[in-house]
Amino acid sequence: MITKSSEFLMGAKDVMPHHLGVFPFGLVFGVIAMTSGLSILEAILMSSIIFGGASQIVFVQLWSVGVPSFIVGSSVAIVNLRHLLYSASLAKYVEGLPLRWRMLLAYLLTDQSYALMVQKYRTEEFSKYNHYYFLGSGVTLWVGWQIATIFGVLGASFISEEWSLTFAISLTFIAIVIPLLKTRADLIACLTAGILSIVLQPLPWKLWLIFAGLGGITAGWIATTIIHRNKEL
Amino acid sequence: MIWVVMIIAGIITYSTRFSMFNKTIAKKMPAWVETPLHYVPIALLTAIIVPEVLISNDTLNLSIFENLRIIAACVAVFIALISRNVIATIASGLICLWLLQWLI
Repeated sequence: MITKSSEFLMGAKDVMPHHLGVFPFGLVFGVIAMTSGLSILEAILMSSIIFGGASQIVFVQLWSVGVPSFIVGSSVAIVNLRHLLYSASLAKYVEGLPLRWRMLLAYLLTDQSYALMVQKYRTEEFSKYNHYYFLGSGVTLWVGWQIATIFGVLGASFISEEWSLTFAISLTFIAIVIPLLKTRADLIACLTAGILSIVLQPLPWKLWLIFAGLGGITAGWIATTIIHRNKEL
Repeated sequence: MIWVVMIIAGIITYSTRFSMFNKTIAKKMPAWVETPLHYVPIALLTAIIVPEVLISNDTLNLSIFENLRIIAACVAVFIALISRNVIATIASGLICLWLLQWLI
């Protein structure tokens, strides 16, 4: 029987493996925040106020070298554009929920919870308690991120760069992306984004990220259109 | 000052997440957007992964002997393909990287 609490617990359980990648990322953020000259309170509260690994790292890196505030803000916005697309992609599943639910789930929307929700919606029957699954995974990830930040901040002097902890986040994303690659168009989107992310590096303010993303999306979209047209002929 | 910028960054982050959960905005979305949206996670996450693996200290390093993350990432991709398991993927990549760092 599917109940509110069973869905919540299922979400919490399904997000657990992601902590293996998210926890080291949180540690790395804590360390970078300390070496960038933030106070302990600033570093820890940033993980609640922003709650986004990539955005927080970009923020402290730019802040520490004295980049003007409006560029720090714009860079965070660019790194965040993918959330806009995630939000659009999940919108039809949350549209029936009351405003307070949608506001809460939006706060908890991350790469990991997005990957879990997409998998659930694409593979399983729609359950009326799906939002509890979303909540369970989001809350668990949030708690893990806060704990990791605190450990990183307090243990900054013990954590060595040689541990290559930043690599953990790439591995988490590999674990999310590979199972999504099912068609030739998926592969084309993936390869295009990967190549563009290297070629566009000279662009300022990490603009390469959003342009490589948009390039990959466009390539996949064109590929789908062509494949469909060939089938119809 | 940092607090002001941090709260603005927080508001920006939250707005991008909430954007399409807003009904009036969501209702204006045409049906054709479904196809491009399907490629969003694939494209954006790949664009985060690839530079993280291939670039260190602002320079592109494609030598598999110097840049050990390349082999570790390939191992992780292979494990992801055969296992489809998050823990196995992350653990294999990290262990592979640490082993190589220790060996070389």
